[in-house]
Amino acid sequence: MFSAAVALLGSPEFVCAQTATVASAHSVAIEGTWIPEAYSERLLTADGTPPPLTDEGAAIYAKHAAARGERDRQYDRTLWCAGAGMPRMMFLPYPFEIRADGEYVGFIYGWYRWHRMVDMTGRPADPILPQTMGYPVGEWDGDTLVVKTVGLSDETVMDAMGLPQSDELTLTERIKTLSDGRLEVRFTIDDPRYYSRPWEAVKTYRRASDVTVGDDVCPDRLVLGEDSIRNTLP
Amino acid sequence: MHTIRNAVMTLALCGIAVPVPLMAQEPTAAQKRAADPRYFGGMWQVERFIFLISDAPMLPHTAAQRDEFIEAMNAKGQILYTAWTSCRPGAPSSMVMPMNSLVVLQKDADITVSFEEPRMTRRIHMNAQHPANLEPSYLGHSTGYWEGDTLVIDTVGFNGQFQLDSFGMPSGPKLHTIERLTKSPDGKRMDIKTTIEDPDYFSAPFTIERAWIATEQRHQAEYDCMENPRAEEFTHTYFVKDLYRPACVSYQGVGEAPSRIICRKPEEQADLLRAMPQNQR
Repeated sequence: MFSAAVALLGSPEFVCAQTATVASAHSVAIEGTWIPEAYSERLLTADGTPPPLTDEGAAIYAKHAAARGERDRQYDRTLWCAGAGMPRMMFLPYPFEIRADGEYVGFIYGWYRWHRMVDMTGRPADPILPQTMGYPVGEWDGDTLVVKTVGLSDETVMDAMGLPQSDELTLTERIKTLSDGRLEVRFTIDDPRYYSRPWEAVKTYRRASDVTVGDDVCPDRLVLGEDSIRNTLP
Repeated sequence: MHTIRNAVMTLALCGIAVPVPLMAQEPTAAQKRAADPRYFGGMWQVERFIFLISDAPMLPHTAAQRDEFIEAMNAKGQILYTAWTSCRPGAPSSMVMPMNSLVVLQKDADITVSFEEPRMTRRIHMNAQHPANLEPSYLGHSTGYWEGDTLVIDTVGFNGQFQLDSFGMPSGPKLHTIERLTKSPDGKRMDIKTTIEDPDYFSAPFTIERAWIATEQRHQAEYDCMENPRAEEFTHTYFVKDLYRPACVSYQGVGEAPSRIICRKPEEQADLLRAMPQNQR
C-alpha cells in the first residue's frame, strides 16, 4: 500500500488538499487530555519509600517540615501562585493536555496557564538561566517518549511537603500509554546534591476526554479566598 | 531516494501516517513553513514589543478614563496596575503587546498557540462556531478559518476584566477581535492584523498591526509573573480595578527577621497592608 502511495505521489498531478500536519504513530497515542489517577501531597519513590536524601537534602527537608504548619510557609512558592515547576507540575491534581506537532511535544497544564514545549530535534538541551520548567528535550524509545530536562531552578520543591530539588537535578521522564489506555510516566530524579542515588517515582493518568484544560487564573482564586492549589482531584 | 523522501514528506504533510522509521526523514518546521503557506507550526519571536494602542477611536468616557490613568502616571508618579501587571492578562494582550517567543502547534481541527509573555495558551477551533452559552473568560473563545492562505481568528466571550494596553485601554464583555495572520512565502515572517471592536468603549472598529519572526531558538524562556509580589511595587500603585490588589505581598524583614511573602484572604488584606511599615504600603 505504501509503495502504491509513493507511486501516486510521484505523479506531478498529485496535490495535497489538507493543511500540513505531521502525524506520528507514537505521539498520537499519548496525545489528549490526562488527569492524575491519584493525588498526594507527599512524593514517594516507586517502591513507596521515602526518597534517599543526602544529609544536605535532609537538613533542608527538616527545615521545611518545621514550617509545614505555617499558613505562609515560604518553601512553597505556589502559595502565592508562582510556578510549581518540574517535576511537581506533573503531580498537581489538575488536567493537562499533550499536543504534538513538528519539532515539539507540548504539555499544556490546567494549573495557572503553564505549559512546556519539549524540543524533539534530537539536539541536546541548551540551558541559559535556570527556570522552573527547565529545558526539556525528547526522543522516542520505541513507543515511549523519553524527556530529559536540565536547567531546572532550585527555588521549587517536588511536593507540598517541601521535598527539595537543586539546580543539579537531571529529570528524566519515560512517558507511554499502558495496554489499558492509561498514561504512565516514570520519573527518574538524579540530583546528587540532595539525593544519595538516582531514584524513581511513577504516576499514572487517566484519559479525560470529558475534561477541558480551562483557563485557570490563580490570583483570581486567591482573591476569592481559595487555595492556590486544590488538594483533591476534580 | 529523493523520490521516496519527497513522497514521505508529502504524505506526512497531508496528515497520512507513514511508517515510523521513515519519519526520521521528516522535514523541519522551517522547511514545512516554507513549503506550505498554511503551515504555521514551530517557534516564533515577536518582532518588537509595543505596549500602547495609539489612535483608537475612543468614546468620550474612554478618553476621560485614559486621561485619568495618564494623570496618575505622569503627575502623581504612580505605577498603573493592570490585568497584565497583576498577572491575569486577557487574550488581547497576546495580540496587542506580546513579548519574546511563542510556539504554534497545528492540527487540522485546531491550532494551539502558547505564548511566553504574557504566559497563556490559546486554542483556535478551526471551522467551528462559538458556543451559544459561552462562559465569559480572559481568553474568550476563538474560532478560525482560512481565507486563501490567511488564517482568520474570530474571538468573543471575554469577561471585561482586562485592558488592551499598558495605559489601561479598557475592554468589556462585548469585545470582539478578528486576527488575520498571513505568512510570508519564505515562511520566515508572520504579519498579523488585529481588528478590535467594542461598542462600549470605541466608536468604530480599529486595527493594529504586529508581526512574528521565525526563530531557530528551541526553548522558550518562562515568565513567572507571580514569583515575587514585591511590596515596593505597590507603594505608588494605581489599581485600575480593585480585583488587581495583591492577595500576597512580600514583606521585607527587619533586623534578623527573614523577608517573607504573606498571603491573606481578601478580608484580611486590608489588615495586612495596615500592618506593613508606612514606607512599604
